[in-house]
Amino acid sequence: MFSAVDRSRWIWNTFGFLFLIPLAVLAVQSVALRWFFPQLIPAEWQLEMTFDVLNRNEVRSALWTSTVIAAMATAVSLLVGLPAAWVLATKRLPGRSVIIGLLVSPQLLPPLTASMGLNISFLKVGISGGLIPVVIAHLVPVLPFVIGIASVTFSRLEQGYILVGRGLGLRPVEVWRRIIWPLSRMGIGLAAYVGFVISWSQYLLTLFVGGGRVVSLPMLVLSSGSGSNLSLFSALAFLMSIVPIGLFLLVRRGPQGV
Amino acid sequence: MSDVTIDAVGYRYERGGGDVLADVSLEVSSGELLCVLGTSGSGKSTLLHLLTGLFEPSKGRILVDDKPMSGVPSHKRQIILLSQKALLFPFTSVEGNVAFSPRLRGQSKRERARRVAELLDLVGLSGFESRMPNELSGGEAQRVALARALAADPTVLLMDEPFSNLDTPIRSELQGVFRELHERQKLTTMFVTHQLDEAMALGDRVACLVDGRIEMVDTPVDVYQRPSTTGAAHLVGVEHWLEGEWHGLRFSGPWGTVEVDEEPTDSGCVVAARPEHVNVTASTAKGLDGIQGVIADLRYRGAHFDVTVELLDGSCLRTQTAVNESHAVGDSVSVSASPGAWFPLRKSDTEGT
Repeated sequence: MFSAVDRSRWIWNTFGFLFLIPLAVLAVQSVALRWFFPQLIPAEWQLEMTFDVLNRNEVRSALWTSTVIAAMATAVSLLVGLPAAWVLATKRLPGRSVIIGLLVSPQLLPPLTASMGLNISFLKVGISGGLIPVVIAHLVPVLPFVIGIASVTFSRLEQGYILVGRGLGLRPVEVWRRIIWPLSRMGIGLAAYVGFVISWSQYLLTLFVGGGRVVSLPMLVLSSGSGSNLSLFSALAFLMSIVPIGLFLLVRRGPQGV
Repeated sequence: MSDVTIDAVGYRYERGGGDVLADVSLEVSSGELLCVLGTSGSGKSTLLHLLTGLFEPSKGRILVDDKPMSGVPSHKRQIILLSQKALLFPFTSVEGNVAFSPRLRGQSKRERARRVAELLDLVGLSGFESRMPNELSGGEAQRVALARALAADPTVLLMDEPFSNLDTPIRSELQGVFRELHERQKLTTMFVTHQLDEAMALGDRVACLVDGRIEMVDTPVDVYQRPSTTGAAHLVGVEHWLEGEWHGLRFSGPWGTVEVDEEPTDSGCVVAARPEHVNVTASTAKGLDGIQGVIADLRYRGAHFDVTVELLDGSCLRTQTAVNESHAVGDSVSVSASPGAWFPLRKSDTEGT
């Protein structure tokens, strides 16, 4: 019989393995020249094209654009979302469910409809076709997740800690810095990570609102996918995946909170 | 050490509802341990939160060392509240928790270490410095919370049923630790509890809080033996009283007559006696001139039986009998007590006399 620890380890290893399969296939495919079914490993390998990917200007530019957009969208959503999540989690708020409903409502539409609708709205107010409009557009899918995760984190936080901190002589802002932050940094880190990944993965919103002038990594991946170079497509897709994975490991290795 | 004056304080929630606290006046002398005894919902915790600054009184004022607390932010009051939950910071060790306040005040590492060792010794946890909060038992966590509070050098310590989540032996042990610590530190303390034994064991004085009103403040012995109101009597285990009319020091009703050796404060006063001072005898016994009744309820309490006797007019009296006395529900009995055992009780305001 498995012990509880063995069982847990076994489950996590299985999940890890399943998670890594597509990534491993992408990694292998990105250095394969000829790899056809039912070959278990590629018949011919190449490295030149893969390493060349990072040196391409359009790839570097797209990588930078995606990073900037996702970082800005995450930062803005944390700036706006954390106070909102705090209020939602800790205060009695009239119309609380209406606010949550409004935040979530764009997620209920098909992405194409939501993206086009958003683009038309942006065009009407004359803010389309640049990096900032794209960042603003990304807030629509990012904010609900940031607020949702942060709100759960804050609602699990024992409010008595605030009183303890005040009693020990901390001003309200110090209570945040010295008590609430260390207690909730894990949850806030997770909210930031999820926000970043959602923005990082946006294709339609960037395409529509960016008006073709803003080229992000997902756009490059998808356009390369329509070509015949499977290795280039795999290398870009792999590149697109390792950034969030690296971030995830960073968040996971961060100091533990509640 | 500071004096605390709570002067005619009232509090009601902004969102409406009745008074949570009404006209509460209390004096806590410097170095005194005042226990506030009250049932759940009587306003005990609210009273403490008015002192911490979490709430502002709707009426009246609070003074610490004659300085009004109105408008003084919580972090400047030097008033610390310890609640049922220890709320240790899980991200730091026992030492980090206790040294939290000294570090804020800029004490050197050496000074902090000395203070932490001193306080942990005081609460009986020497050598626990490097433990993490999740490695502590509930009792140990409360001791660390107490040490952390003392490290902040508060002028007033507030305790909101801090031991109520603990098992009885640990609670009793911590009460001892706390009482001893109070004797040494003489820190002005308000300790709220709903547990009679805790209030009796800890308080220099006990204040009875009934439905947001202070009904009595006196020494534990006087509160226990001679509660002055029906509300205070309820809190100290006197749950029944007799209704009737006063004729000097005699009090009569349909149930009979008793002699009382204390003047009633007003004609509306009722009469009660502590259960352990009331005797119950089988009514067939001769030579007894007591109040007649029937045993309505009998409960085994280990050291004694709690006996509820229903009198002729339907009112009840609670008594205690030895475990070797044999009574049964439905037995006709005679109830008596010495004149000194009966005392007058003013009806609580909330009873709408």
